[in-house]
Amino acid sequence: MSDEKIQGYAQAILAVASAESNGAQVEDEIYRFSQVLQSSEELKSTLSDASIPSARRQQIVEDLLDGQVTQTTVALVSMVVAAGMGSDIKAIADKVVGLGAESRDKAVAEVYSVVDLSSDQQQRLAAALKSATGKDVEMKIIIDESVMGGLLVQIEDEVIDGTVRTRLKQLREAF
Amino acid sequence: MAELTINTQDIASAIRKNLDGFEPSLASGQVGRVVEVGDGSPESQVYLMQRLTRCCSLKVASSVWH
Repeated sequence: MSDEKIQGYAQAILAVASAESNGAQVEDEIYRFSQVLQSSEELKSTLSDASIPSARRQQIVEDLLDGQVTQTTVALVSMVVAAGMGSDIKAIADKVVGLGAESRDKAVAEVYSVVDLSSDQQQRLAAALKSATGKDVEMKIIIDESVMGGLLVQIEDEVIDGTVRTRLKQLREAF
Repeated sequence: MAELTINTQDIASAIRKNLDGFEPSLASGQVGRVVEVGDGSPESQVYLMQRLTRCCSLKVASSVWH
């Protein structure tokens, strides 16, 4: 899918979310749903399957999200799926959070960790990242058991890898 | 902000509920046979379906090949 189209959908989603006065929340919910989608090949392929009527695909989205997120998010994700953009939800969600953070003069930091971080840990990490990169960041914590321990942080094209997984790999390569 | 919790069982259940009894309406049929294919030359015209009511000519833009 073209970057222009992804950008267009992201801007439209942000405009609707902003009009509904819950922009940051909708951004976060769409991002979280895209992470769920990444973890389930079955869901991803179902929502992208053009042979399944869009009403059925939309109903799957609504069944999964209803009661867990705002109605704005349900409607927006459903709209994206109905438009045949199910396979682009991750790209659209990334663009949504990127543009949203940019509008607040911040960068998005995707933080991969085995465990969730407390608000205090998040604040300290944000301060450390600002000191390392010079950017104010909005963090998206992604629970990922494959990192084994430590953290992996991606800010735009920059990756800071302090994971146990990578250290073990380096050890294996050294001996 | 509440955490979004959707586990694999929720996903399987939502898919099963909404696709239960759904049969994709796909049909196949023979509409002709390939009588000639081009050699990749940008100017090649590829005639694909002999039995189409009008000849279908596909001229491939040279930019596709370079």
